[in-house]
Amino acid sequence: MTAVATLSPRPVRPLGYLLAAAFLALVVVGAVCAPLVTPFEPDAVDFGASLAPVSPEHLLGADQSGRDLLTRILYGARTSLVGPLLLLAIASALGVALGTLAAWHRGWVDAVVSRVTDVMYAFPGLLFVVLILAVFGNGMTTAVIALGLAYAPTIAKYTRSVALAECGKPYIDAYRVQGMGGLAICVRHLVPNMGRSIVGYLVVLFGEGLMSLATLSFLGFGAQPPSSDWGLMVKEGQPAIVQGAFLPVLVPGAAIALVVVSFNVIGVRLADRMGVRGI
Amino acid sequence: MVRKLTGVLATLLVTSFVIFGASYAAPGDPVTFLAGGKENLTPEYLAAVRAQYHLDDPFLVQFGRWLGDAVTGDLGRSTQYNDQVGDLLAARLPSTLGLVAYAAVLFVVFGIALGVLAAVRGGRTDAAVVAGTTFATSVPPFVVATVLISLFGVRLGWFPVMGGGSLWHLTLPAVTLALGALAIISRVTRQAMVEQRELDHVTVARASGLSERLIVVRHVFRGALGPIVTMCGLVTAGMLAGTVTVETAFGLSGIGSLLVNAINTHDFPVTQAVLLLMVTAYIVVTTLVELVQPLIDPRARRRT
Amino acid sequence: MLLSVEDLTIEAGGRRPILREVSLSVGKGEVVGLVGESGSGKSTIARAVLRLLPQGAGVSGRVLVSGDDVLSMSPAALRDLRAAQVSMIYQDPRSSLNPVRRIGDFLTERMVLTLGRSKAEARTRALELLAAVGLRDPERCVRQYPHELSGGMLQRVVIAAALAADPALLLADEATSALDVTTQAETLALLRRIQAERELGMLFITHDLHLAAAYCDRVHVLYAGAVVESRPAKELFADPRHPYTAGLLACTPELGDPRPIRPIPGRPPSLDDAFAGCPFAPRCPHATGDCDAWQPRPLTVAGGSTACRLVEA
Repeated sequence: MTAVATLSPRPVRPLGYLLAAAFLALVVVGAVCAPLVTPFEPDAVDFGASLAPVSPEHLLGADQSGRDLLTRILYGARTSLVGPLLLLAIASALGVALGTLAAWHRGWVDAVVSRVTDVMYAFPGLLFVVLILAVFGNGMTTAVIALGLAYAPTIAKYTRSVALAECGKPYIDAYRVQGMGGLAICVRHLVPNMGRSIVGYLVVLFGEGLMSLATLSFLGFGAQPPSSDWGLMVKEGQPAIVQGAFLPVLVPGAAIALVVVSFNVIGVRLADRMGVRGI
Repeated sequence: MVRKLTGVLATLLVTSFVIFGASYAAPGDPVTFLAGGKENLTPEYLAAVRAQYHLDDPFLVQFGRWLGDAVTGDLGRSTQYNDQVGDLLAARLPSTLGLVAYAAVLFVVFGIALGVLAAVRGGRTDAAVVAGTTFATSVPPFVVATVLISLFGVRLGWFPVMGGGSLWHLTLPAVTLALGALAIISRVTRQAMVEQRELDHVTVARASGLSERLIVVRHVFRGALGPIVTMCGLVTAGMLAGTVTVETAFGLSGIGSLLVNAINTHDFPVTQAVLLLMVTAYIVVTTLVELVQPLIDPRARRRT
Repeated sequence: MLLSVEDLTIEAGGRRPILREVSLSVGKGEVVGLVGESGSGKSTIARAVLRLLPQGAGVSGRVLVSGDDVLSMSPAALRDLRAAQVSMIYQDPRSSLNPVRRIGDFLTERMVLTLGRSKAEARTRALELLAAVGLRDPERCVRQYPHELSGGMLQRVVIAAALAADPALLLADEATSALDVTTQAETLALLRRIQAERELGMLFITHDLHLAAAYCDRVHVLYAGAVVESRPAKELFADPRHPYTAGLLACTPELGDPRPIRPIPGRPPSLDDAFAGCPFAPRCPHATGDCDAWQPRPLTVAGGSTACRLVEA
């Protein structure tokens, strides 16, 4: 738990930032090169190794079915990291478009966007996502799309405030005077200029997105077996707790916590640097 | 005031419409969907569902009748338990409310205490509290739950692992539910206190010979109370939704775990009812928080 | 002597001290003016009398109130001094009052919590004080919140609170600067009346030299944290001996005065401007090369002292 021990208060010291970055790099490399790192298959059942403790063979132990936990964590990192990435892609595509549109058009577009946002904000926590999942059925794809939709208003709201500030700058007026169309100004000038602060904001949201997605998987709404998504691993490992075997839940749990902490440490620093507001 | 209430009612109406209309967004015939999507459905059963949801009426009329039924307590019949949804909720609501109340007490008391401590002591205490709360908000509740069960439930055996009932049973779930909220509240408290401390009237109070303790209590904390109460209210309002994860993780029988079961078994009437309940409670509590504000800050009274 | 500041030097990390060897005194029933531009350190002096020092400040010298050194007294004695002996009136009455507490609370708080009076007694006294500072409906006033009163009324409340403990010394830190002109005159008259009635010593801090000269018995002019001229008000006004004092007097327009307005060139020194010699030399119209090397010290002139080497020459 080294990354945790050095976690420092704001302003984040470079040491914490470096450790967080190193840890994330390690996870990403591990996930990409998983087949080279471990000799096991993520789904390889071996009842002889059921609930195996930490050993040279199973570095982080094994779950009830004897599947190697390190292997599953590394393969699971793929879903657990790509999932939030996709949902943020959906959310930011929608959110940036709507936010820019609202700020550019004001008037009724702005009003409509903010009403829709209000309705979505009236659902506390993940309930909006849960409603979508209840209608369209469980599964990772639905979960990612639903979360993407749920995060869009947040990003739209943020983009709108950044865009409003940016629209007030003279260069936008200058393009308008030159006769450039609204769409062209937005796409070619406004959005790229907001890029920095939006990307900073997305990094901060990544940790939250990962937690949300893992929570859905834990509830059984997201990733389905035999996936080794970290949230699902915690769910599947839970029965083993009563038998006194904690590794099946602690390993994926720690993976989630450490990755989220790392993203938050980096996010706070990036936010400071890129002038992300209101976090 | 009247405007505010109309706004709240409008939000409630729209959200309930979204919850109701969701069944129409589902692929396939709403009847099959509402009936639980099972294959071997008798025509009689489908007819009953049709009648329950007034599916033969125009869409808006259906919504109106559904909402009217919901307001009068008729939430339909569960496809899974074959029980009145209202009865299911009534049976499970007390334990969920107990859990939320327990967690609320925990996070209010400890969150504010930690925030005040960090603001007053400063230095290392402050750094430790900030680091601790940053970490606490980075761990999802279901992970906290499994860690607490492993450590205090199984390894140390201090608390029962599963099931509910007593306060003792509810302790670990309440701690889990409270942890994130505690982190938020202690941060808000700390921040508000630090801001208040810089204000001139605090120096004035100090210059009039008041002791530091009295200054902190009567001026700094009193001034910070507005944001603290607002945040406590908002966080408590959101907690009902938080029980979904916590009750599932601890195997408690409440409306949170009811929702999870309903979704996993395609029991849409129950899903609708629980969502409606949680959203309504959330909107009502957040509105109450806004209404309480003028009692805390006299400056807000003029505007209402 | 009621208040006696001796060689007070306060350093807080800048390149020059905030205050450098400041000495001044206030007797019973005396009004002493302290004049300077913003950043000259005048508020720091008033705050030092209550030991409200900047964070991490290095302090030398003594601040005696009725003979006791404020800078070295015990916390209990300090609270007693703040509560009972010295009161301060601040520039902005709106920010001096806790916005979420009633006026009555503000007045009775110190009486109940620091002077140990009963609540009923404190309330009676609060009503008396509010009447004494000329507020028309004290009963109503104690139930109101600060945002319901005008700036002038609030300043009266602050003055009433300052009188709550029957202090011997009043520190008025730009007490009227934030008020509009008519309220300003009323408030000044009120302060003067109360000061005379109760024979209070008052340290009157302002940036307005004309006001100080008209209002005070003696005036100290402060520049870059040091006293540059210190004389009876009338003499100072009639015949300023320090070029800075003369400059301040010359840069305010006066009705029927044919002289052109001459602003002092340059800008007030910040804490990052360090000086080897006379700090005013860079802006002084009379400065010679020697001024840059001359360590300012008070030189006796008619009625007081001034820190300009040119008076000797």
